Amino acid sequence: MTPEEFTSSFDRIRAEVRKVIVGHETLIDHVLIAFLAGGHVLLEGVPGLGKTLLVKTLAQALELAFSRIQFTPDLMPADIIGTNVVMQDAEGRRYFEFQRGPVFTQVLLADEINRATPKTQSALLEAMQEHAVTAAGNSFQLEEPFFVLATQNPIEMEGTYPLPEAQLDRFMFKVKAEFPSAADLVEIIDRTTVVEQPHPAVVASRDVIRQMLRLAREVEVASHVKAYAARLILATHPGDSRSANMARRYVRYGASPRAVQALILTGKVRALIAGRANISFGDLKALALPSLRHRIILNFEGEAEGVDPDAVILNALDETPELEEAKA
Amino acid sequence: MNEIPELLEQGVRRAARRLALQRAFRAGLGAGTVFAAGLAAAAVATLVLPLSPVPIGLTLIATGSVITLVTGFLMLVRPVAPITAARLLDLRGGLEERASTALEVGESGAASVLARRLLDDATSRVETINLRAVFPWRLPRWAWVMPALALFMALWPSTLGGVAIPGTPAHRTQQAIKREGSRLEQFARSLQSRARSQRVPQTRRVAPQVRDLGVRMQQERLERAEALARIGELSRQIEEARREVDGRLRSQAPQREGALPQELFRRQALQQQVRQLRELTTRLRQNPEAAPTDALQRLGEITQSGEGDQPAQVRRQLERAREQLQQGNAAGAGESLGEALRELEGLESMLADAEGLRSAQQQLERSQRAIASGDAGAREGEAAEDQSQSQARADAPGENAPEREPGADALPPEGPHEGTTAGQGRVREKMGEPTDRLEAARKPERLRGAQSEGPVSSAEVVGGGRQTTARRKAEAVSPTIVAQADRAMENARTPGRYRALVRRYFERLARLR
Repeated sequence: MTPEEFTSSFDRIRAEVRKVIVGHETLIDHVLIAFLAGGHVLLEGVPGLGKTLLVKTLAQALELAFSRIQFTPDLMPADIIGTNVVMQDAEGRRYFEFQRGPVFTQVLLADEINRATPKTQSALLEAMQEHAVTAAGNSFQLEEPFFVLATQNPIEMEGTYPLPEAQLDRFMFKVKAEFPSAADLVEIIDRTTVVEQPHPAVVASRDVIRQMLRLAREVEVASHVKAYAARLILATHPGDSRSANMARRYVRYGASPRAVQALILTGKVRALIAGRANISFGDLKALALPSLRHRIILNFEGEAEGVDPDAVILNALDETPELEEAKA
Repeated sequence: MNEIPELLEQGVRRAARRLALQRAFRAGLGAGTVFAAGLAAAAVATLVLPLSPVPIGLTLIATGSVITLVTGFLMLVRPVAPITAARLLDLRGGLEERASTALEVGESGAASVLARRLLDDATSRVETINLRAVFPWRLPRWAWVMPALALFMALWPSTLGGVAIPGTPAHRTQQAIKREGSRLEQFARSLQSRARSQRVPQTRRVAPQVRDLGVRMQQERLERAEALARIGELSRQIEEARREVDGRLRSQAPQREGALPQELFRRQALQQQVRQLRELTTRLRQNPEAAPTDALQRLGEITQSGEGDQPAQVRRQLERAREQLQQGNAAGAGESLGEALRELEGLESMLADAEGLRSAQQQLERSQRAIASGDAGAREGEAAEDQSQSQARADAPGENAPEREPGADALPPEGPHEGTTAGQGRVREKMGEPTDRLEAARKPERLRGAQSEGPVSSAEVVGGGRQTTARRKAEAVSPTIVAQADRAMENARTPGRYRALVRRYFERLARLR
């Protein structure tokens, strides 16, 4: 696959998704970028913003298997992974057979993930990181590509279980779904309240998706760009000599090493979309917010003052020079 | 294996050169600013120290040279690395890290799927970039300091130039300049009055210049270097005039072996001959018939005494007069003698002119030395003035303060006759070691006395010399010694007998040559 083919495939997928989803251009781009970088996305937004529709549309456009799990407090890990069921053969002998759960898919929508208990939430950990599931001593490999899109409601906090840091860190992006504008709402009315509703066509096969995933990793990164990414991550840590002012004051723990991986991987996809074979500082800056915002843990002062992690990241971006040479 | 395209390499190299030049220029500008600030500080220091501020023209040239040298040196020793240039090119040229990534990929020789594409992409972008727009020449924010310093240096001479804080060495030097200006003015006045009574055109021309310089030194706020330069310039002009006069004198001097001993003797001899000739000419004109034998005898004496010093023209005129007298043509002899007299008078004027110029030159040299000695000299002068004033207050019995000659309380000059001031030191010490040139018998004497009321004056008194035999045989000496002797004889009020002795010594010396 050539970069031009990558770009045209990406454009086609985006166009197909936009046929169904109104507005949310940045959100769609970020979801697609994370998907092509081989990561997962945590989507934060109030109900009714089209999160489920987005994932469903994506799966349809890419001809991928799709599952949806509605997380509730009584959901058990086995409900996600699957369980051994006692079966009886023709001779009357009983045996255990593993019944695969909804995680055995390619595009998984974990709806309102913060409503399940941490135990259930953790059931997704291995699947998200290793793309594999272990049940009753048996390990099952998930089919590639495997993409989890989890949603959570930022308003209703009662009866919810905030995601543990370890799980949050496994999401490549945390994307915020903004409420649509008036024009977008009108467009939603026009598209969804008529007889004929738009249906996405298949625009990229699984094979194409796999090629795109592989090509994205071929993008070149200069040493000083890597160094900048590293400095940016360190700037979110309060104890580092290069930490930004806000990080020093409001942050308990800064972004993890997975953050720098996420930055570079998603940066590579963004570079290819822009027709480049290398990552630029602009790529890293554009993707810093969705990559880092869920990985920054505020301290008591930050929580008390209601500091937004986005502000900490923007401050770190401001205070981290792109080039050490540029200072001279 | 992907190699770096030549066009990309060239573009990056060009950028590196431009960046290196800009960086070196900034550093050079910084060095120039520091240098100019140093010169400005030196100008400010002239308020306290007797220094001379560097003129604005020289400041600009020197600062420009510093900037050029530092820039050139740093260009050579601190080039910008291509990778650094590529990164800055990306950043400022909006290349989105294409050039630097391509350079790294090319250098590592990576053969990834996208490497070739990256190299081509970067090359095409770098080719189209305009380095002048990407790296424009921008002066640093502190660049205003340089013109401010230049303005400061330009305005300094007309505002604070020559100003000195009282009590500082600079102030003392200024006082010394003013004092020397006053001395020069006084000297020039006496020179002018002397020039009025004599036919000394060059001295007459020089005297107002010396006076003008003296007045300027008193009125203007001159730096030491400027004062010395002006004195030096005038001294040079006088030297030229003196050489011209000396040249004319030399052309009229009689052709004989050995150097003319000293002009003072020559002038005195000439004056004597002029007097004798004038007397003889007057006698012949008034009474042409009377005593031709006596006139012939007088003429013979004049011719004999002036032998060796008279110009050829004068000798011819005297010879002609002698012949005319022998022939009984007293009127013709009178005319010939008149011609010879005019010649000698002209020669005497030239000698007077040369002497006047030399004295002016010596006075300028003395002033130059006094100013150049600077603070120490000024302190000495001030101390002498203070001492004189305090002593005057202490010694004065009434309202009338005792008057003292200027410099009477100053320390005596160095040399064998050191210590001429009354009541100071021992006589033997003051006499110094005997010179090996003229080991004459010396009789140390000291005048003793008590100071009474009234004005006090102190001056060197040279006693009568006693004729003895010089132990050292006469021999050829260097022209420097001759010149020193000339000056010493000219300045000293030497008694006639002693002068004759010295003169004979030098005449013998000349004959030995």
